[in-house]
Amino acid sequence: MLSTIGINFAGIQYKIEGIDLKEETGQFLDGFMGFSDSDVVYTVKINRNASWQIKDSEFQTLPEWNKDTLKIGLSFCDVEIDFVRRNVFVLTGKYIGLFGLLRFLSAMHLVRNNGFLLHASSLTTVKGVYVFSGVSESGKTTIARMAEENMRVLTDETTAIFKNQSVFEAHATPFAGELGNLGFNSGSKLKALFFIRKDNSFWHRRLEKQEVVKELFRNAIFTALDQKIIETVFNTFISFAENVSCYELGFNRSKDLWRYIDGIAG
Amino acid sequence: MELLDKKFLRNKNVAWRIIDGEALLVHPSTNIISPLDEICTRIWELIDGKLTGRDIAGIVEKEFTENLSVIETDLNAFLDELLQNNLIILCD
Repeated sequence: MLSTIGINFAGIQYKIEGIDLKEETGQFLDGFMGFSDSDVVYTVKINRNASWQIKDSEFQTLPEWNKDTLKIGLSFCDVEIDFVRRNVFVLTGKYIGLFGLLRFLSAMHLVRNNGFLLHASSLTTVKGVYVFSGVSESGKTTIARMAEENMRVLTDETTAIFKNQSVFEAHATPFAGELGNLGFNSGSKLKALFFIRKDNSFWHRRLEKQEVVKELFRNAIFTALDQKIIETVFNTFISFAENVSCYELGFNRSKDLWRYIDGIAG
Repeated sequence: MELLDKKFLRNKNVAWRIIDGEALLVHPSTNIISPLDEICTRIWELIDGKLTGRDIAGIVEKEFTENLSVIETDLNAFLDELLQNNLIILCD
């Protein structure tokens, strides 16, 4: 039986019509389902055609941009987005990959609105949100596991970052890594961003503006970019680099981690 | 050194910014980021479809007081790399 559900995170509300609750939702959405009072509401209509075939995971057609609309074929569905009316039409086979669809939609919304999705774990502290970004095996989940009692882990894999008024905020997403969904759907002012790597000892280096922009391009999650959108992304990244303290950080599994980090960014 | 007598245009699909004196180029279809050093950034700015590689080498020689033959060798290799990565196109 097909239903309509609400999903909200990072200040975005998705009203998704045509979901099979039994087959297509899962624990990854715990804490993110329901309707919020967000002003940003996308209506997502899912249409099914039994003959529509899933493609290889890397499959993607060339994005067709027409001002504020986008058409693109992904491995798990074909999508049309109207970013002004905030309508999304999805054509898929029997089942939709909701995880992939939400990740794609939120990444596209954020890059058009002074934000981005980043491969990063993040934790709230009394000082603000600390964000830890890096490639696979860099230690994102390790750091999330080391959270102390007075901290809350927002995510161990994918952090949503956007400018709210003049302040960059970091928010939880349902796109979890090894830790699974933590269900803490929140976010607040970003205190500092660390590009991490596991090491034998602690060390850090404050990054120059150009280095920050370069690292953000390497670690942000993008699809369907065109030149105009990359120009927007450039502006967002430069503004981020000018307003948020960013560091390269080597760390190990020691109880000194938070003292060291507070010493840098606190 | 065969590229030095030719003219080139920056690929208009490539997004770029100069940050702290050095350019970052991003190609939309590949998302490949190409950071350029100070001299390469100046060369990138000079690629306008009007100047030949040799013209550009002359300007760089004056502005950076480098040896012209070294500049020409490095510039030829740099132009070749930009062409291979579809960051510039050859003018007719």
